[in-house]
Amino acid sequence: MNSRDLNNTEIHRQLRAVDRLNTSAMPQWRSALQRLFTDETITTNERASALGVPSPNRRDLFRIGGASILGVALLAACGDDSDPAHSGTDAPTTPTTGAGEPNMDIVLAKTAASIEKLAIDAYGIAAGLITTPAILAAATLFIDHHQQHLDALNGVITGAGATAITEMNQAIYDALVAPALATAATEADAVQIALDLEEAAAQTYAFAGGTLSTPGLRSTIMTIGGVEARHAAVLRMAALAQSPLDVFPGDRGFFPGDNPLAGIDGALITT
Amino acid sequence: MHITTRQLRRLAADVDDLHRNNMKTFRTESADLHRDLYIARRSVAALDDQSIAGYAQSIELAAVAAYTAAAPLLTSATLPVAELFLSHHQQHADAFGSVAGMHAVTEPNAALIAAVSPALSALTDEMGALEFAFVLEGQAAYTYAAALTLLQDPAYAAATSTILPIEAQHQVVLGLALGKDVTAVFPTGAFEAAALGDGSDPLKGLDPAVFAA
Repeated sequence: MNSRDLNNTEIHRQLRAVDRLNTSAMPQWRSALQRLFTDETITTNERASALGVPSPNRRDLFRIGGASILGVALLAACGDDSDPAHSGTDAPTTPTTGAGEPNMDIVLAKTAASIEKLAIDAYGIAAGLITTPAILAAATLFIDHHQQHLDALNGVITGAGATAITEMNQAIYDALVAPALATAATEADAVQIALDLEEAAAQTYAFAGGTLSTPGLRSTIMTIGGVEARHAAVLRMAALAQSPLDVFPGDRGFFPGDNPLAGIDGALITT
Repeated sequence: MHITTRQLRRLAADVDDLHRNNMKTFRTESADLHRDLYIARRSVAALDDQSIAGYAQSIELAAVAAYTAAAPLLTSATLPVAELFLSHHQQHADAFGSVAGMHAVTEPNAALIAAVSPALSALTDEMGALEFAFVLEGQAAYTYAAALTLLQDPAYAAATSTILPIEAQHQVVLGLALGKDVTAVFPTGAFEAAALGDGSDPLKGLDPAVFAA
């Protein structure tokens, strides 16, 4: 078939097909663009790459054309050349010293990961004392949460070039969990161990929320810390049958933010 | 079969129609995108730490106002809990206000009050009031998770990090009081949400681009 042999029906069919493709693609295109420009984790360079733009620099606009024009226009309208707010990543970087600095990020991320692993293991051990199906179901849910937290934290850790945490925090286990497990005999004992761990974990995260070096990391850690605090509240009310008021000891309106591990040698994972 | 000039013109007209139809959609989609991007950029770029603290203070004061309004519907079993939560929100408001500088406020967030007033006015019983508070507490927690992505000064972040877990625990207490199962008191699963919305989504925080004065 040459250009003079176009079949009218075929052309109509092709046009309808193009229209269907276009109609179906537009919402996806919009969705992708929206994510591209609202996801804070995506840098300007990544946006440029995704849009097929060879450079994010507005001054390079004249060098390109065609399909890239729209991408460049969007970058020019919505992005910054320097993009200082997104100039780095949220992954910890070069180790230095002191709280609020990158090496402390790695230490806190590793320590948090080791506490998550400890929680997983401790729930597993304590489950042997839990007989109430509803409490066992809650423990199972919480183990799943802690596994997700561990995975997320290990993503940050390995993203920074460090080795993933696969072992529980032995120092905390030795100092807090082992003595309690040694004397635990009832379901309530097991729940109390879990509660103590959850509250220590939540406090560790609240401490980290003011200590990590970047807003992204601080937010990420507190998306976990808030859930640990929820675990503690559930354990108090649903598993220990405490009053709602007991969830807030001393009527506290602020979660403790000081380092709960300060008195435990070896609790911070520095290697 | 050959194509005639007339057929070609008709086909060209068809293409033009398709193009116009799609451009109508494109225009709408682009307008939506532009609006959303405007909101997103305003949220991220325009707020410094003090203005975020002032915004948080206004949200906390709105929570105080909401609990005050709902209190008459509560029984003696839940009223002490609501009063405790109200006092927490007042403490949070005071804490944020103390570091908000010129952005400190004295009144509840007017936009949020306006947004929730119809729902508050429609409350007729304790369960409704608790459900309302359940949603609001979750949105407060998510708002702070989002705020932490913006706060530059670690001191502001530290303070916010001691408040977020309390809001999360408020939601758990209210959820269990409502008889929800354990899974339901983790509305966003294993992680608190850090996304912002216009208040209609219970799984998103309260976007300052929508509610800031």
